[in-house]
Amino acid sequence: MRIILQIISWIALAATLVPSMLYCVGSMPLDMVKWIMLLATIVWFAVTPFWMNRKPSA
Amino acid sequence: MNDLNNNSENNILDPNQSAPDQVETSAQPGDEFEREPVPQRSLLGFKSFIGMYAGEHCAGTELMLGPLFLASGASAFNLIVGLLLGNLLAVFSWMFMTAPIATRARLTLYYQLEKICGRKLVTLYNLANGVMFCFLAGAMITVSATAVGLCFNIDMPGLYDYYPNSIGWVLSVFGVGLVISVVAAYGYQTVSRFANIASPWMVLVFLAFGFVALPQLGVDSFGNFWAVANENIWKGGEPFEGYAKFTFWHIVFWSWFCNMAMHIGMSDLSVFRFAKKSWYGIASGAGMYVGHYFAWISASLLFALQLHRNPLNQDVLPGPMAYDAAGIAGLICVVIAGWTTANPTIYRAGLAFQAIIPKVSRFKVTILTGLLATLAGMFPWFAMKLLDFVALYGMLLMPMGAVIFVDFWLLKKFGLQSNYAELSRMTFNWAAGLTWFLTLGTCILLVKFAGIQIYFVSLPGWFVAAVLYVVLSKYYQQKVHQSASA
Repeated sequence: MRIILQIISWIALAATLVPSMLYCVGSMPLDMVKWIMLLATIVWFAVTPFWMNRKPSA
Repeated sequence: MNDLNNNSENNILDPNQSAPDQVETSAQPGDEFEREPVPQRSLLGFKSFIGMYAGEHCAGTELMLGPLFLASGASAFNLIVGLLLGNLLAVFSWMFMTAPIATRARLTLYYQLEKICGRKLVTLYNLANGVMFCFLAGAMITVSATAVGLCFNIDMPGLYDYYPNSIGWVLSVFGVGLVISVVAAYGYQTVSRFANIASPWMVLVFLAFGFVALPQLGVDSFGNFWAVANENIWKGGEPFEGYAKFTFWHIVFWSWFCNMAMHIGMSDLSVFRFAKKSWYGIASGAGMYVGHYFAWISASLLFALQLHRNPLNQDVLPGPMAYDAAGIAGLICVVIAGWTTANPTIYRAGLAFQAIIPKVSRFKVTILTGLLATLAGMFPWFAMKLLDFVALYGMLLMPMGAVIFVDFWLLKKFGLQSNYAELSRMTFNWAAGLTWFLTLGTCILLVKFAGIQIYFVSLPGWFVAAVLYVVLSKYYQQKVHQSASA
């Protein structure tokens, strides 16, 4: 379970930055960047507390 | 280690501890080691320090500092290369000045200072430190309040507003400050954990600000970046009215000294006492380059974009700038960046004050400290003049860093006793106290009458402090011995 949550978090983290890079090279409109960043923010804060700063269960 | 509340219970306070939660998570509960060297079993690995520095140096105030470089007329080469060099010097300062002492003595700054200076002088140091922490937290509250102000369409302060400019602004700062103060008093550790979680996301949002701003400023390929940077972004030229012109050396020295209290001022002895090796000081590079370097450049890009669209709009308001670039996620970033960094700053200021009035509960002291920071936050001066304030902060605490450095490495070579207050059981080492006061007096005179700007004065100031401490110790230790044997 932990690994799944971690993967979701890393995807959210990537979705925080990558859209702005795509906008920078002209591959994505700014409005879409903003919406994806907001979605990524929600996912990051919803998922990450369940594994970060917590010891893995045995 | 992690339970800072225990500190106050034991009345062994170290307000100078940096981001304790991140460094201290793997230490044993209750192992604070405030008055003993950190034992071998509690030392931490390199990764702990990387995470701590990357998180701590990506703060809400970075969103003010980047634009202020532009307001100071920084050119593209001066900013990009100057910051590269200045931050490198800062890393070297942690690596070659702070960490070697920290990993040999393995004591907190507070205890190290107490051995050298005596309890009463340390109390005075705590007062100065606490007041400066309060003002710094005030600037962080100001940053968060610009995001809240945007949501409620409040009339916010401009670059030249040094006093509260509207009732709406006062209420906005008060609301943010009150929440931060209550949370700092009640739930410091919860916010610290939240800050750890927010940190990687926040760093990436800061970077995203830059990527979003670049094409809007005219950068459409890697090849034309430098031309656009010089023409549209960091144009150099005259600074805004009331701001000093920042040359290459201004930027180098400012970025070197902006955390002076922590490296040359030795505040981070409390952090690196847990490091296995002194070269772990290089971990500060994560904060200097991921945090400061890229965050400042990104934030200055946001302001450049605002000026590009409307040259008359010189307001440095992180909330609106971040919202414009990244929408609601940007706005959330501004609130969280200000909140998560103001929280430990208020907590540390509270600890510093509680060392002076130990009978008052930590809760009350933290609330009062938070309200003082909130009051400071209502005055936009601290945020709008952050370049000057940060330089002043470093200068104020720098002499005590020189005292620790000389006491640790040099004093015995001059036939003098180190840790003199502990040996002589004095509560106020006048050699250290006078070194502090006279160095500050010299720095002020150099700024006022010798034309040395505040951004540079701490360098000669450090050498003045080092020489003064040796000379005054020679006289003072002799005098104490004479009166003891009489």
